[in-house]
Amino acid sequence: MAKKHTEIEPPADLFNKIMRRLNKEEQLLILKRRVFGFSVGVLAAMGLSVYSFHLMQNILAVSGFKAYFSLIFSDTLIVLNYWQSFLTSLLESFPAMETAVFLTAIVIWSELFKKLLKEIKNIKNLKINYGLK
Amino acid sequence: MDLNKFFQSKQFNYFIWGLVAIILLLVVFKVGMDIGFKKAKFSCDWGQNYYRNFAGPAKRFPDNNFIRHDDFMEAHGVYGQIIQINESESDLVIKDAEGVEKIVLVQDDTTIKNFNQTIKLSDLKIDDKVVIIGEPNGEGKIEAKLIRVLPSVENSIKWPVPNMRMPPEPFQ
Repeated sequence: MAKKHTEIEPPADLFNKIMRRLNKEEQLLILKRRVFGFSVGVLAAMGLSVYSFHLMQNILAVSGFKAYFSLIFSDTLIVLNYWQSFLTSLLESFPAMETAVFLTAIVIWSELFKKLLKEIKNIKNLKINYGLK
Repeated sequence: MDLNKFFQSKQFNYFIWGLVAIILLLVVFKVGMDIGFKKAKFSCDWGQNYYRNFAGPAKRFPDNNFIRHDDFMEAHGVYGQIIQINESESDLVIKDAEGVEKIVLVQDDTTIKNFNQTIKLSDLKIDDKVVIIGEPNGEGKIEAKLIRVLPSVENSIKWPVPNMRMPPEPFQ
């Protein structure tokens, strides 16, 4: 019986196949870790964008930006007549830093989400092409 | 729609670059404001300390850094509540959301609007919420160009808004 087993010849490329498979498993693990990292990043960026949006909205309401801005619709002609004062009022009351933080959070969120989708697609391809679980 | 395709598209990239450009503009604007503030503060401190620096010790305001960044107020407009109307001097005292009181001059060319109607200074009432645009003058007052009385929904907000910074305590 033992002799019979020793007579079985393994395929010539078995070693390469095993190594390739190990390599793909390793790639899959790395991709899964990246997906986890990007998911955490997306959640954090979403949290930051929601927080900064609320902050921006509060400051917009209290600083009077909304009230000044609404004059465009209610008193268009007068606003056009005194457009310099109007524009300066808008700029003075505009929460520039809060808006910049909000937009930055949106950009970070979008970019991380883009990468997350890409990695998920890579994982799917890897699983389909190499039959990994 | 394939989300992956959308996020990899050129249009999405243009959108992101557009946002980045806006962020840069906002940061540059903020930096410009901060630099302006520093110059204004230096000029203010210089004026305040002029006598002491060039002619020896003298009485001065108690706190060297009594002006903070937030104390620089809007000069071209006010959004707040009327707390005083002086018809004889044609001016109003407006308290803004931060509790800062500003004097607004009503001139011949000032338009006062309530809904679609143009009204007079005498038609304004204490506690009315108004939004005003105008020009600052040399006396620290605002010469109003437009006074818009806000509808009663806006009037229901309690002013000053809680948790906002309050003006500095008056000097003793």
